[in-house]
Amino acid sequence: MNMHWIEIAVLLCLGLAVLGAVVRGRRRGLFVLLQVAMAVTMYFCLFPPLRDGASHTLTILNQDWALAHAPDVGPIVVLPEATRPPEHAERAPDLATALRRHPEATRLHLVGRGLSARDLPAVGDRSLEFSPAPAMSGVVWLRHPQTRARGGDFQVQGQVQGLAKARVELRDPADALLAQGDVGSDGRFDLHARMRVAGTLALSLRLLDEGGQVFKQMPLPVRVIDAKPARVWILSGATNPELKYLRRWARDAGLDLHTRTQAGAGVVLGDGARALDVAQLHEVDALLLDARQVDRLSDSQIEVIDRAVRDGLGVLLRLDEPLSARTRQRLSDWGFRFGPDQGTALVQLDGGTKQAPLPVLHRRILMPLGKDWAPLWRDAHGTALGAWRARGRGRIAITGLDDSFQLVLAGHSAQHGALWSQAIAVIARGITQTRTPTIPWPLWQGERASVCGLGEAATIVAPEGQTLALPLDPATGARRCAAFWPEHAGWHVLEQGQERIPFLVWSADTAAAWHHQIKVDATADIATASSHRPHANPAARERGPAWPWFLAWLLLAGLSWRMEKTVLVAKSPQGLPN
Amino acid sequence: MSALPQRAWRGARWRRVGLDDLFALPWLAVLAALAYRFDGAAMALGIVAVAGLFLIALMVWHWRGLDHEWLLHQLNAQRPDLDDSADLLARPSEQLTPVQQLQRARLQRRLAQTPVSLRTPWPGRALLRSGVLATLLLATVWLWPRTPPPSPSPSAATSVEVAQAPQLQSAELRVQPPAYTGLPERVQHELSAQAPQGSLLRWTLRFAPAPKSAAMIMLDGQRIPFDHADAEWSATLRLDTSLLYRIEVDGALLDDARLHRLDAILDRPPQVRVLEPAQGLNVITEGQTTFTPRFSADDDYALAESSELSLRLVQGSGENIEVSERRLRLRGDGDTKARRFSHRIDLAALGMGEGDDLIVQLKVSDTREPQPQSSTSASVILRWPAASASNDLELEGAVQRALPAYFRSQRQIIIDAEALQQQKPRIAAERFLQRSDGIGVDQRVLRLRYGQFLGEEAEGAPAGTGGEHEGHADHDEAEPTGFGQIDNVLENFGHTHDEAEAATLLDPQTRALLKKALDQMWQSELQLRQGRPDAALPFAYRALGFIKQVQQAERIYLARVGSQLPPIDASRRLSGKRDGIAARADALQAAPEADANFTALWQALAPATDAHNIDALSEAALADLGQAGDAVPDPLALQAAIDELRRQPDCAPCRARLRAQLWPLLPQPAAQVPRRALPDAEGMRYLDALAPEALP
Repeated sequence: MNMHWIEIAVLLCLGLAVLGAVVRGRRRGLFVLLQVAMAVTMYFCLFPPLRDGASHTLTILNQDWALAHAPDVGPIVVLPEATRPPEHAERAPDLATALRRHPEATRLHLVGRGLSARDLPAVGDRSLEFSPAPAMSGVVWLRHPQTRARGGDFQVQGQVQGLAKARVELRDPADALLAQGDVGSDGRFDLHARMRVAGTLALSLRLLDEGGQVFKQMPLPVRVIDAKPARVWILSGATNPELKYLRRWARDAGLDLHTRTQAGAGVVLGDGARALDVAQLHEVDALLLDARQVDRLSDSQIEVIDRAVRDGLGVLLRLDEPLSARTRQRLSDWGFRFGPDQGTALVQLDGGTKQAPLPVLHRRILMPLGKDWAPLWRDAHGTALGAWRARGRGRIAITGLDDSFQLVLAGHSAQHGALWSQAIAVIARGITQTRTPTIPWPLWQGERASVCGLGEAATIVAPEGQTLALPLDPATGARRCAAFWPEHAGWHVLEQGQERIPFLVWSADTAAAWHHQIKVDATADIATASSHRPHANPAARERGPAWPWFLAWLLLAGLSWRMEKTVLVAKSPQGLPN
Repeated sequence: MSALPQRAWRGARWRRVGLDDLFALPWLAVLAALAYRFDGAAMALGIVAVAGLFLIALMVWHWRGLDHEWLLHQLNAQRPDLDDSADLLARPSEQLTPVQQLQRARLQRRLAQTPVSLRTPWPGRALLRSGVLATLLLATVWLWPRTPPPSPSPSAATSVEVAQAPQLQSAELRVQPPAYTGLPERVQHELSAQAPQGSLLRWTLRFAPAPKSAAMIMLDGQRIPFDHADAEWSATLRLDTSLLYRIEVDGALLDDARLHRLDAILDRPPQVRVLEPAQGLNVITEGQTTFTPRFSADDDYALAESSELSLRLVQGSGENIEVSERRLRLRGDGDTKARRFSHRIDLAALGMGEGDDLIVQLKVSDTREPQPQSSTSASVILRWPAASASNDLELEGAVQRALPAYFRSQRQIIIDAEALQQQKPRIAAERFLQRSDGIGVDQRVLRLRYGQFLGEEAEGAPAGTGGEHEGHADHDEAEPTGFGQIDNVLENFGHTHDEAEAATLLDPQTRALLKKALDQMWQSELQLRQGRPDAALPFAYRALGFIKQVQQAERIYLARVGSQLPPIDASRRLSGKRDGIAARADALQAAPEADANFTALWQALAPATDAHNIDALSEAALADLGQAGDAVPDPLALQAAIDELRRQPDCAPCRARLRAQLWPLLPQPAAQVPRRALPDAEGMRYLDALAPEALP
């Protein structure tokens, strides 16, 4: 708007100057002034001054739009997803096309569902106003692991919206119930199931409404893999049932286990002798010690262990008896400072069923002071049952849990295994991951996906049998990503050399509420960002019309010509030779 | 009478109506066929009925249309020799003038000489055209292929070919359950059935066209040929195990090799329950002379008429025990499926005496053939305790009713105090104070006795309680207490004089109540000792109220108190003989992997794999299935899924179905340890840099 004022001001000044010159009769000066004015008008005729684009709002109707939100001014463009497009509206195959057709549009008003990945980048730095359609009821957020180790725990967390008193069920491929639970008042739920042998499978998550009818159902794919066995060395100062069942689990889980148990007076049970030195510990992923053993080790051995930990070894200390002053000092050197011994407390773990409740366990009340540790496990009430902290590249954990073997005796050996698997997974030495392609999740049919970490000549085999090549996008550099646009729902296979990774693509109507929510969130982010941006941006400014300047120039040129004819020619006999 | 040519007239009318029919009926058939093809027989019948009515109406109209006037007009038009005077024929001769009569006679003669034909000539071409068109349409409608079309262009050749392969026209499966089940014979038209084990199945099938041979092929390869008599093919089979079968006709499997399923329902053994008495061990009551246990039994089909009651009398004690057994046949009340049995046992006649046990069991059989199944009930024991055994009996369950004897005392204190208060004006002040003090002492004694329950230290020996707390040897020598005497439970079984917090005799609520009662008693005692029974009464009443609550609310559970072990003397550790104790190697073995064949097949069927050995794997899995027994919930479904995949190796849904069937059979392995990923070089440097901070 202010540009108009500049133009008017310039014109006004010129007009006043000309008028003043005419009135005063300074014709020569006037003539010079006219030349300047002509030059200025000529320039502006060629390059009209910039001004704010008249704020052109383009209304975009997307899926589930409602007319109540749509203003009746300005052009309306309908995206292909929109249902029941109005008669007068213009259809566009995508947002980018619509914006090419309406280059003047600087403000966008989106009505209906959020923009898909196809349209999001097209918004650019235009201002976006978003009137979202009412939220869909169903699962709007979901989290579950894509890969689990054999026998591992599969945890699904999610959030349900728009359903009161809903229930969720997790069913196995044979449609048998694995886990079920009520949806909390905040809509959240948390289910656990135990995986079996290695392979790919899809569990089924069912959302039941208040009446127990299946409201929504979605397959959750998971790859169960054989993990690289950890090398575990157990050094124990005494033998007890806890050790026995821990070792049994470790053997069954396929860990590379080496045990040395001091039975007293020089009697040692277990595997052959090993020297406790750095070289040996370098070949071990996790070292399990009990309180008596920690007390018994020499200072130099503790020093060796400490060096190995800094180099990546994991150490788990089972504090199953009152600590001696020496043990306390050693633990304190490792960063665990304890208060006085407070005896034992009861532990109720989370899990079990009404028919087979988990037994009550015991633990020594030995939790480190301070806050520089992370919990190793938690019980049903959220109390930490152990602690771990990083030390160099390795990790050290302590736990006062005394009788987890009771779980096995009560028939919950899976729970027992899961407990120790979780603990050793936290502390055990890390492994260098081989480069594996990362496939995003969730994937919907018709929605762009980006597969990263690819090698050369990777392909995807669709359920119908077509093979799609995945050309790498050079712009992604070392991440080595390629775009993939699934046309079919179902199991796809990513093939790369000898590797064949199956993955699932959801049909467009599976978990639609979540899909919708993702799009709404992404669009709302853009809308919020655009509202924070300074309003006047260069792209939105345009040049005003040229014709007033041309007219002005013409007028001045005519005036000048006239003056030359009348004023200057009349004077020429005096000033010029002919 | 008229002399009109009635015969020719009738002929004309019939011809007209007949032509109507000839034109209309083929089209009616086309209409009916169309309706049948689109909407079934009911619609076709309706259309035929409506159109028939229309046709009849048309025929009546046409019949009427060829009326008297038409006849005369036709006669005059067709026969010039009637001289345009056919009307004369219509009129009775009496009304005619003689000339007219003469003319009429001439006409009659002429008509008789050359009979008139009034019939419409055959519209041959039109009729043929209409008929051919209608027939073509009819054929098209009738032979139009049903959806989905078997071939793109239905031609006569394919329809002939379809007709040549024998198809199952009707099937009848007669299920004759074993006679003992009492179930009626039934007939069904499904080829899959569920029947009691041992049922006789008889198939009666009809095929069209007639095949040369037909047989049932079991999934395990067994083959049972069908015999045929006329067009009926039949076979019989005794259903002993559940199985899957197909029907093979002329060497080809019927219905795309569809599997039919026969489920043998196993006979359940009878179930026996003891109705009375409610518990297994019963103690004889005083004066009891008979014992009447009652049982109920049920079975899925029928119970045998009689059952066997076994009475075992156990006499003697210690090592000198004799067992004598008697068996009785019992007849039950109720129907064949559920019966109730009861028997009154005369204890004296049985010879039961003090110190004996009587053990009663009922054995029930069902009517299964060839061998009946039988079950035995739980034992019911009637015990006549020996005289010295009563103490042990009370221990059973370690539960006792609480404290009845004490409450009378608190009430007595109140009664005494009230009586004393009433006598106050009549007796001397010193005497009053003395008596009040006496009641106060009683109150104190009572308070101390209750205090024991809370583990309070006794303040001196309350008179008359016998509750000396120095030693507890007297517990062992305590007189045997009789059944029902529960005043001195505490002395007999309880040890309550430890810390108040650790008194384990009562639960916290009861302890709180008792504590309140004690406080009130203390106040009451205080007032009584000072000679103010009136002031003591409210406290005494409140104490009584609390004690009442305790009495109503509580039982006392006598907790088992663990023994106190002496501290370990470390100097004596490992000081014994250690011959033969030496270091030994680890004997721990990993558990063998179970159900490896199911696992291998499940993994081979995964979406990404391209295994070629599925046949071999499924063969191995089938072999495992035979051994797995009851562990597999539905072996037939798994067999069917394997068979389906073998027939169509490329069928992706079949793979998915088989995989789903296999999932429940997969072993639950011990949880593996997932490995965390090492951080990248930058992360390593960060961790290394953090490490020194960890040092104190």
